[in-house]
Amino acid sequence: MHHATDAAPPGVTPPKGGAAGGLLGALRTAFSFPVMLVAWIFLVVVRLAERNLPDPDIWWHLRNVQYLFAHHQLPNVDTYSFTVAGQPWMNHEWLAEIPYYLAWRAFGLEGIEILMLVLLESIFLLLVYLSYQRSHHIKASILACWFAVALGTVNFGPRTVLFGYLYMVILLIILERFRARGGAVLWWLPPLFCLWINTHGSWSLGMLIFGLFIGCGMVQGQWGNLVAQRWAPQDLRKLVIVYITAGASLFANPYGYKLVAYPVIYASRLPLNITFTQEWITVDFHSPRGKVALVLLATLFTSALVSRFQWRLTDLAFILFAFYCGLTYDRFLFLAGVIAAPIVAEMATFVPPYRPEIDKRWLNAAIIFGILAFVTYRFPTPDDLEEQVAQEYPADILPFLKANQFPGRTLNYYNWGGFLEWNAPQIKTFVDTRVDIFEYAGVFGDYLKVHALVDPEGVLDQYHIQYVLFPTQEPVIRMLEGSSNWKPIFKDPLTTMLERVEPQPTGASPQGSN
Amino acid sequence: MATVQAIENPAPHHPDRRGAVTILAKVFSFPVFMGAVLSAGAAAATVWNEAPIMAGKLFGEGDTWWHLTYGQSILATHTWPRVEIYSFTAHGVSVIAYEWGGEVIMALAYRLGSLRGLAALLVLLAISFVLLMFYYAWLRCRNPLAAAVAAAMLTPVASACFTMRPQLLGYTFFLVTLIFLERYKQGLTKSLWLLPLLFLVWVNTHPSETLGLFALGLYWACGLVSFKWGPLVAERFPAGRRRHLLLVSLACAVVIMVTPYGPSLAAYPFEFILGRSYVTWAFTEWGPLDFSAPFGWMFLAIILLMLVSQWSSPASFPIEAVILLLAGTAEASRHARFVIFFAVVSAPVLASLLSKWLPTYRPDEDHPIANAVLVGAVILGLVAFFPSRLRLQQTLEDTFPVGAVDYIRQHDSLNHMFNDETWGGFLMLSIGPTHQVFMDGRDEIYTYNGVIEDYIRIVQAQPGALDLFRKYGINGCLIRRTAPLGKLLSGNPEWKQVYCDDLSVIFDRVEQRMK
Repeated sequence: MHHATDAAPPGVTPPKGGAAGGLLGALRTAFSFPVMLVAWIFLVVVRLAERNLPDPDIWWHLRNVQYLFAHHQLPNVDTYSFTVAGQPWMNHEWLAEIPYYLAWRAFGLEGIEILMLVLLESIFLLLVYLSYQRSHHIKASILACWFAVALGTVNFGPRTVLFGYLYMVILLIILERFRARGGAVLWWLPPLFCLWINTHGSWSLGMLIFGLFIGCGMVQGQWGNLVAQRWAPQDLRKLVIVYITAGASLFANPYGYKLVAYPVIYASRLPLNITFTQEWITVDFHSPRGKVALVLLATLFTSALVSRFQWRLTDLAFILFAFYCGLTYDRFLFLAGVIAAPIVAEMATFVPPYRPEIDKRWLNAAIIFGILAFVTYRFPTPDDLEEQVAQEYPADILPFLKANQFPGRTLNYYNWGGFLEWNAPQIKTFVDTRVDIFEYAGVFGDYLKVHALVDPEGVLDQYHIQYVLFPTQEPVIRMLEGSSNWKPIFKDPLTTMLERVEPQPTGASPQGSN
Repeated sequence: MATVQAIENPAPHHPDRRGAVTILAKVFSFPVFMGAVLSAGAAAATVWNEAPIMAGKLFGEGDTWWHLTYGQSILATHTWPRVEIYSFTAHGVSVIAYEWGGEVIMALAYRLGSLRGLAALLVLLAISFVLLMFYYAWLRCRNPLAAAVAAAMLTPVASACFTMRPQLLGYTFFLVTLIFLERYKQGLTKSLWLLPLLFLVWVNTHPSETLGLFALGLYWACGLVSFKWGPLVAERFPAGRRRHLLLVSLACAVVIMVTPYGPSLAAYPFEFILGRSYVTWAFTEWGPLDFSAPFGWMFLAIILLMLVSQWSSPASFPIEAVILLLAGTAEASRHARFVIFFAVVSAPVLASLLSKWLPTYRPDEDHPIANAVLVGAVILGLVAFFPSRLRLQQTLEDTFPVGAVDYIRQHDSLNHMFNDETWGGFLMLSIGPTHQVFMDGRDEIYTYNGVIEDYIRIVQAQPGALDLFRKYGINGCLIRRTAPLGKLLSGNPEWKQVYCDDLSVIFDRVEQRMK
């Protein structure tokens, strides 16, 4: 494959008289129309993400790092629940948890919010860069990035997967740079994958993308609008060596081969998680995000029919992979957006190019400063964030939990497990959103039997449950409130805690101990 | 091969024999054989997971029974329903049997052969649909193998809608309309005058005639212009043909007013679309397509295959075909029930793309005897695997609350019962209107009075669920044995379980009885 030379960017018409240099040139760039458009992306990402702080996973992530810092080792067994206490558990996202914990230590909930926004903004800024790298058309790149933002909202929150998508964009930038210019840039990939596997399980998607990139360069030919160019032998050799090295670097982690095998085990052995967890459901085309996905699909459809756009075989493989993942599982729409953006940017070069000579920089500057001022003014205060948390988590029951002793076992709401583990560690939970360990042990299945009222009494007896801590609106609370065997000991509009008043059943074998 | 030679070199002294052999060769040609294979596939596509028998999907749809109830009522009374009598929650409201034609056909099939009659009708409709799809695809690409492969690929997608409802008739009529329009484009214009007659039947069978009107309008509009934009082609019709199409379209638009309910029946789809907010999320088939389900996965695979094929080997398409395909894809993605619409409109496009890869049919290389044997085997298979009356009755009892209905018949006091919505139609057929239902699959009569909203609150055991029982004066409850609501009621002293079998459970309200 011959490396393409960077031609004059068709998306930018250079100003007459040449570019101004020095400080003036920097200011002209800083207050240009494209930067102003990027500022709008910045604003929209902030607005879309600012209410998403209360993610159910973040709490047990914080607890993990607290344990790490206290004991200078990763937790290898469960210590938070009574149902799977002592059972082996792999903290497969340990490296991503540390920045969140440090942010929390430094600034509390605001720190977590800031880190989340920094990660999101970095992903989309790099995506604009990647799209520009492909299309050399800044307006088309920003337009494509809007699609990615809309699809990415599925994962807006303080989540470790944001590191995964950041690495994904970096991977795509490196691959694109190698395709265009060759050189040693590829050698950044082994350390990237080493970092990635310790951060999030999405490294496997990265390896797949990297593999497709290499594989599509093994053939040469043109079929209609589809083009494949074979790698030059020295490039292929380099790619294969780097791929093998990156694969080897995956084993540089605290859990060895087990962490490398984890994504396969996760996908194959957790059917309940895939079926019942919200983010694993199929895309809903009635939602705004689903409608954007539909528009993107229609755009591709139409372009296949009317456009003479030449598709690289790699792009085709990428886009098919991304859409299969994104449409099958809602959570992968972020991935679909990231992968599709540079391709859409290249297709959207019909958009009129940016013309610096007609730019109104004073207007851009005013808008950019306006956006920055608005974001700063509207940035949530610690009280706002506490309120956000209290709307979804049982924050008001915490003083009650601290002030009283609860000698028996507590069945907790699934999404509240991590919150209780972080804020009321004296309560051993029944389940939390580390779904893998609970599903292996059958605990998650039993929890679903309670939640769906399939066999609540049976499960409550089986585990010798003395207390039930659930949202007030949940049917199981109404069912137990109607029974003479349970009485409420705490109740507010969000949270109800019930206590068993009859003697605990005997004979059933409990799992773990409180 | 000997047969082929015989066809090509008939004995000179037997001209009649030559004609007969030619006809037989056509009857047992490769395309006919492909049609037989597709028919077998269509019949197989009526098998339901919970009832692995041919036409088992008869039991996969609760709406079948209220359609049948309406059909039987029309046959018995010779009048069309106008006032609701089967439910106590919507009692007395105006109703329209907007699918009465299909319902009468179902009732006739049931009268002729009971459950076997309905099963035969379902299989027959599925086969007709798939064969018409095959023919429609062939009309565009003229390659029987490509058309058959396209129809075979789309059958699993469309099979999600192979249930015993008049909608299958509606989509069959849609296919017929598209076939007439395609033939019209190819110069066979006279048959277009059959369309008003078709629309007259269609509007009285299923409200999907709006799709037919959309197709007519689209073909007419696309015939106004002439251009070639990449692979997109539009061909301007001569003025006379345009006028012809316009007149037929206007005639179709006029005849859809000829119904027992006047123009109200034609207006129904629009009223439904405007007032369906609850329905969209409450009922699965109005929800978005589930790409992890087999037919959703197939749908996605077909779209991706068409994209790849078009990119790698571009083909030309008429503009109206592309617009129909985009509309079908969008609607199927948003509403799972429209996958059958997608299957219909994508058949010719997929066949055209496949025809570039698959060999064309060569009659001189055909093997009529082998085809005849295989066609015969398919027909025998269809007969042999057709389910017995006993098997169908057993499946009915496994799927619908037959035992509970017997109990209710013996207890007249259970006259204001809450029931599982999917069983509402079966209750209407079995014990209606003496025992009125809480709700059934006729969404439209329960949408405007808020019954659907209340039903969802109750089945999900939301706050105030039991208060709603009081609001409606409910004294009994017929639900699935595994329903969460059952757990709520079994722990409530006001309710007592009075009947239970493997499928259903009945609760009686103790407080009411004591009074």
